[in-house]
Amino acid sequence: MDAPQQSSRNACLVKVKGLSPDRLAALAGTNTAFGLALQRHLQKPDSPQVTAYVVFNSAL
Amino acid sequence: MTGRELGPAGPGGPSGVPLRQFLLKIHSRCNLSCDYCYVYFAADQSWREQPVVMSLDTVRRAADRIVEHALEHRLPSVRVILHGGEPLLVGRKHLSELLAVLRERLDPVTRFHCSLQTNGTLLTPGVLELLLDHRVEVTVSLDGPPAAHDRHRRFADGRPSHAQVAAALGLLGRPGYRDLFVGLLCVVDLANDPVETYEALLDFAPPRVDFLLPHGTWRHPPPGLEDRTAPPRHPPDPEGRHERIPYAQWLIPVFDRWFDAPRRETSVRMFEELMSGLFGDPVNAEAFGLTPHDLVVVESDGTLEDSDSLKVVAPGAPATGLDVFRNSFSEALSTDTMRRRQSGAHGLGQVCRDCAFTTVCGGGLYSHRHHPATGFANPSVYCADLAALIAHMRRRMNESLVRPL
Ligand code: SF4
Repeated sequence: MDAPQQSSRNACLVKVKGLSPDRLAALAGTNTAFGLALQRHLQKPDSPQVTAYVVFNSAL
Repeated sequence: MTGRELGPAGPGGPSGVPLRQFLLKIHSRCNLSCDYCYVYFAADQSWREQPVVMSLDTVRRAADRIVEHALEHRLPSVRVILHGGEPLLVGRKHLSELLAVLRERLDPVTRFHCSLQTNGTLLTPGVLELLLDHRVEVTVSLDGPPAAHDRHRRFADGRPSHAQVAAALGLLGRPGYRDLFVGLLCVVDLANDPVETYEALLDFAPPRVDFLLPHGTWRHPPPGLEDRTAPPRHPPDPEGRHERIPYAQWLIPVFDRWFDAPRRETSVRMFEELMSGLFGDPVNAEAFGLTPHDLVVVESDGTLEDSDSLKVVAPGAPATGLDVFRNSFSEALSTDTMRRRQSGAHGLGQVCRDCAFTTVCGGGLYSHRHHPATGFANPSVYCADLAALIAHMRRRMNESLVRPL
């Protein structure tokens, strides 16, 4: 049961693997919502293990 | 050992990830009477029995329990969220004393971050000076331009609150206080224009915006989804072809407006965390993803509760039966709710586990999954909207990867 589910989950993700490092760096270097999201993704393996706070969703 | 190094636990299993966020309800009443507020207008009416103000004795006891928990789990940092009701109703003197108690006890043991969620109506220069002294970050609730905000966020006598909140945000934006300003919380209302709402928030240059979906369950669906009373038996069509998806249709134009801005104007937490999930990374939001829940609520009498949003489920739903006087925070990790919320995909119902978006969506906010017959083993009442939003975001992200620079 796990294998097909896992592959369908992976298929849902946005893949950056096929892109050249230069293109990725250029995209991640833009000060846009997407550029910064990509930066966060690419920096992840090199950065120290930081545990971000899970944002508490509440309203007053 | 950090929180992430401990294994998550399934219901009935050993307790898992330590708590790192402690929400203190320092005042149980509010000076506004917002008609969608889950504290006062939801099924759980326990606020009526709570003391109005959290006493310093209770604050001391809560702080000692946080210290105990931080030492026990060797936590490098903790976050204390001052909440209510309206937390600033405690008054400046009490606020000053309780912040001193927290600092005095927590600072020697762990990095202590403190934040305050306020409706903004009581943010004066005097209060801001105090918050500055104690490095308390501030999040303010604002639902958009005056007409949008004042549709729900009014004083008990019917007076609108936007003008006061806008004045407070002007103050918070001044150079001396700007560093305290963390962001705005905006509850989505389908009656408001989405882009106009977002741009009204941008007027205050918030570092971050959090859009919140109105609370609801399968028994009491949120506004605009009154026909959603039976949880789906299958994962949704990501294109939303078979369902009305008014919340996706509201959020998608905001996402596009934010995503297409030539320069990033602010952080929008909901979108950034979903994008992180779409890249296959952790989603650090209570409402999405599979990151274990690490927050506990301390009511003004010292009782411990699971998330506040459970107040919409049933009377007593957030109760744990524990309190800071008799129980440690580690005991709060053993409640069934907490175990389920820390067990990732195992804590979800089968439909969510079979869904292509499980790791990104995570079944939506826990309380939004509730149905009287099946408990929390359901997709969110927002399921179809969440799937359509995530599918749209994925499409936009994939296009961005290949478009000419
Ligand atoms: S609530 Fe989310 S994870 Fe669950 S079925 Fe719906 S879209 Fe998928």
